[in-house]
Amino acid sequence: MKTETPVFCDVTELVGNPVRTGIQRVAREVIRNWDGSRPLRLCRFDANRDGLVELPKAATYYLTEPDEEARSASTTEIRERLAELLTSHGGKAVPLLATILIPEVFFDELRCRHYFWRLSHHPENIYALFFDFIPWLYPDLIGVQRSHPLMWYVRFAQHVQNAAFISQATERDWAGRILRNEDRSGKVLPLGADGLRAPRQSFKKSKRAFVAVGSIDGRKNQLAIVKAFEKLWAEGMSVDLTLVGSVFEAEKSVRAEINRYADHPHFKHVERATDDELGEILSSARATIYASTIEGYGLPPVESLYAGIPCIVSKRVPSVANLSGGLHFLDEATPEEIEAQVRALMVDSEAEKVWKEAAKVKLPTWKSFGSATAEWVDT
Amino acid sequence: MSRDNSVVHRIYVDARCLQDPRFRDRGIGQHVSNLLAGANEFAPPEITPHLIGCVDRSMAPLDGRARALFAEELPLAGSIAGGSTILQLSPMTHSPHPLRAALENPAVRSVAIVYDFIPLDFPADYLRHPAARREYLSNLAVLHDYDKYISISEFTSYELQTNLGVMSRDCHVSGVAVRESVIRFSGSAPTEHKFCLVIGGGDKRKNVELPIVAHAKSSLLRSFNVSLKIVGHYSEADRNALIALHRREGGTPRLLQFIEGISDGDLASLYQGALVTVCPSRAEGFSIPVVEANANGCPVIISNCPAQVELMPLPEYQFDPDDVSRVGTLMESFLDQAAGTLAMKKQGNFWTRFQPTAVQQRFWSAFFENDFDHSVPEKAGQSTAASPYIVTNRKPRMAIASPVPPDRSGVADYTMATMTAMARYAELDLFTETQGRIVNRAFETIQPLSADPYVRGNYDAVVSVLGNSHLHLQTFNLLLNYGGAAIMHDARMLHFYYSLLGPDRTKAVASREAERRVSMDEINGWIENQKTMPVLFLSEILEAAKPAFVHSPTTRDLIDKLYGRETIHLPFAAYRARLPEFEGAHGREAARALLGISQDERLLVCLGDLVPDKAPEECMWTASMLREWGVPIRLEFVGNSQPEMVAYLRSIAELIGVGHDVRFTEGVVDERKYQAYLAAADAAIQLRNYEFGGLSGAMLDGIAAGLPTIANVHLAEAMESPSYVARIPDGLSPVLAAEKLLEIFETGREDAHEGERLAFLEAHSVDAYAKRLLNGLGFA
Repeated sequence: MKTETPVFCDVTELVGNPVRTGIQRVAREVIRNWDGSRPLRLCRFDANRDGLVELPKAATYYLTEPDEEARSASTTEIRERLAELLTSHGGKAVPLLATILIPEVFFDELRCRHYFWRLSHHPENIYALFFDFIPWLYPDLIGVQRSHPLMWYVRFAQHVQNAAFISQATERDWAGRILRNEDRSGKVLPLGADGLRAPRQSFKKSKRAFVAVGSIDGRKNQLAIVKAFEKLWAEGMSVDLTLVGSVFEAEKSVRAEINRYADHPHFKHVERATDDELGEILSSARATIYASTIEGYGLPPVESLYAGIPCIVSKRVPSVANLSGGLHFLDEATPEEIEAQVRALMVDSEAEKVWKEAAKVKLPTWKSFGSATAEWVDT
Repeated sequence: MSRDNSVVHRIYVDARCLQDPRFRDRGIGQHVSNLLAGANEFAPPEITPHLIGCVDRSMAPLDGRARALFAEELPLAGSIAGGSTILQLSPMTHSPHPLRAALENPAVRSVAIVYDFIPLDFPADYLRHPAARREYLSNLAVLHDYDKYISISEFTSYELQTNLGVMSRDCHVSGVAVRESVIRFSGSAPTEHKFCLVIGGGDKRKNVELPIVAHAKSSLLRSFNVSLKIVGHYSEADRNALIALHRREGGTPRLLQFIEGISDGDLASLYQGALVTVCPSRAEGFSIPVVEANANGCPVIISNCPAQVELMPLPEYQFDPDDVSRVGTLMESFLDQAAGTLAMKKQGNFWTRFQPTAVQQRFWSAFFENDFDHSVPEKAGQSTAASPYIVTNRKPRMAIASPVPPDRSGVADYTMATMTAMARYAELDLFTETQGRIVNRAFETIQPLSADPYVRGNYDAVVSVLGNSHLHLQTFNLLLNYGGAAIMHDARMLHFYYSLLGPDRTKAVASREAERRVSMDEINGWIENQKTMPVLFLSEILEAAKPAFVHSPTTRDLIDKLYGRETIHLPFAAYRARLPEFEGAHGREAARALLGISQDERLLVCLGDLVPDKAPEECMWTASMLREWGVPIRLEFVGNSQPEMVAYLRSIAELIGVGHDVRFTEGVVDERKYQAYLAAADAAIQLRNYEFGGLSGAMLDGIAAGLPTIANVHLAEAMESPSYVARIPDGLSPVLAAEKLLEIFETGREDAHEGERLAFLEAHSVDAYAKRLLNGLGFA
């Protein structure tokens, strides 16, 4: 049994950019839901000191947001407060022998090379959670033009012994394509599906809306969804579509297409929604749609299921790889496929069946994710 | 705008007189502006005239009013399509050389506007200097080469036929339009004291001294306080001299007034208020003041120079240009208002023949007279000139403007190789700035680069070879000034503009192409990352080049999309022959032994000059990935490299653990060693971090050698690569490159692609290139 030496969680990226979405959200949930036998202390990489330094305990407040005041602070305010804390508290250096957990993606060469140094001495003490390898395996999908500045992270991934992954798909990419060693494996830690905090829903025939949640970044195929509904509306079907998510600056053509429907009575685009607003939108949903074909994980489908709402989802989304109930799968996420699945779910009997399945699906929570992460590091 | 069912007739207009401030705002400029403005209205209904302003880029640009007269603007002496017409607005004021070639083309008609031959009548005044005489006579000689002449007066037309022996059937007369702004159509004439009016100017032949002396001598005019107003610019010295003359001859100074810089409206008022307008000129091509006075209801008395007599033939109102007494008597006669009324009645409204539309109508009727062939080929670059083969059974003669070896550039090498093939089908003269010994296998003559081939007119085609280095700067300028065909080796000209033409020109071209103001900050950003550049800096070249050739279908499509211009795609030719020493499996072994590559090593080469655009960091990370996967990789950058770049990349290689696996050739690689690498390598990696359809000569060498290659999609497609060029996405990923290379290494460098390689070589041979180039130039 290990002693109660702390586990140091390197949250350098989170401290520098304390947003509440994406990878930073996962890091926050690790901190919030850690229940390991060893205490979790936060640290960050300080290039000026060429090493990891502990964060002051007060930083945890801003990163775990235990109360409404913390949750209502903006990202900018949090960043400023953290910066003040770091300035006033120098922070102790994290020892070489320390156990380090890295629940982040990072490309900083100096940070990577620091870990190479640690790995060369005590590789058993470094635990890294990997999200996906999309920038290197599908660069065109996310607009990567030059990946040599990102390669340090790949080198890090190749040298880490204790690797965990948010999905089996990521694990397969790591072993099969990054290491090219199918014998290597790691721990799969599925992300929590209960992040929406929306009340559990039940089916009503009056629910005729479909909701697609996700940033409009050019790879989640929202245009295919809109085109599918355009066909249904042209036939006179009374069915609503709501897109929830902001449009990336580069996706001008997508924005132009979406704007064409701005005045359509059955279409709505909500750029940003609070949890309560999203809950309100989902309360009238017959199903959600998630048509992305390349994902590291894909939280929206499982969050939808957690709220009891079925989902039309691409079969390639890792989060639903081992699920079947409550889902209608898309092979290629074409408008024709989406249209067919929407038609299917507009049949009340089919919708009722799928809703019943959704209610029974067992899904991980952020608490279970935190526990699993702690258990992985503990053992 | 095209008329329904009409044929478009292209008219190439020498617009230099509208660029030249000496002529633009004066008589010549005003005359031609009026003529051009009437083209659409007075062309025959079956013809739609398409006016093309041919400009000299070294002169001031056309102003807005002039630019509005033309449908498009081209460089002077660009290629002129057969079936079109040259319109020479001012044959005696600028060098005729830029149009010589077109004037000698039997498929091109030519029309010249002729003004006068005054310098021949007053050589002491106008042709005093030998240079002026040479220039004038030279212009006269070329004037004879035109097909049709439209003179401003019958007198000029007569002199044209007399002086040059031009046939009368080729001569027409349009007259010159009186400006409507000089005609006061309504309102009463200004009431002022009585005066006589002279429209003069500093030219001695205007003979303003005659009315000045006549006025000074007239006691009658003096007693009635009749002043003499002289309109026109005189230097202070000249004016003082004339005032002194007037005083000497007995004139009252206050009755002699000089006026200059007045508006057309004020000039009209002067005409309308004058007792008489005196036109004492010794020689004119066309006397505008005679018409302007008549248009404003003012009687005229004129010297008997033929151009003036032509307008107002009544002898009772004429005088000899030296007859002071007669002029005085005539001026005095107009003190009687009845005399003025009688004169106007007798002289009539001859001005109406010179209203702007009447002059336009005469001009364009003469221009489009029946003997013109109005059919025009619509396709750019297509000439209806009969092929030299057909007409004379001879090879076309072509001038090639390009660097060649020993100049060190891929374009230099390429030109020599392709022109060697071209020499089988054409007679070639090279015009070049290359110094040193040129090993010539292609050209009849090698001459210094100059404007000569562009203006000489004795070539069937002049081809400017363009790249983005300083070696092409002079050729670039010549192309822009004189036009002609162009082979564009580079689709990216930002650095060319920035480093060779300067930031101001770069900004101006960028702003024009982007159709908005572009700042230097933005341009600096493009220099850092050319992928963000929305323009290609090709507009000036594309305006001048006819036809324009590019080597990549991607570039052709991009030019079409961005500029709406058609260019001709010439597939890039593979010109490097394999050394027999390195052919086949044995040759590969020998090459590897020469380079010190062990049997178990996998040699990966990156060919060509080492520059940042080739993503060398990604290449090294690719090697690093392969090393991590246990592949005994050796990466060699084979090409010229700068020491600073090599030092930087070596430091990266050390950091990422491939310091021993990455090598750089130092300096220029000799041909044998280069061929050895082509034979010895297991694979090549060729990446580009920009897209514009750019090509790689080095990659072509690898393809020609059957070398399996990794390239990003854009480059691979631009090169029309065969299947043994494996594609990775344009988002350059060393992981994906390394995966593809693993597949290649597992397959081995077999000759399984030999059939594909041979088919590629046939389609991309220098012979095929030469034939396509000839075809694109219209020599089928």
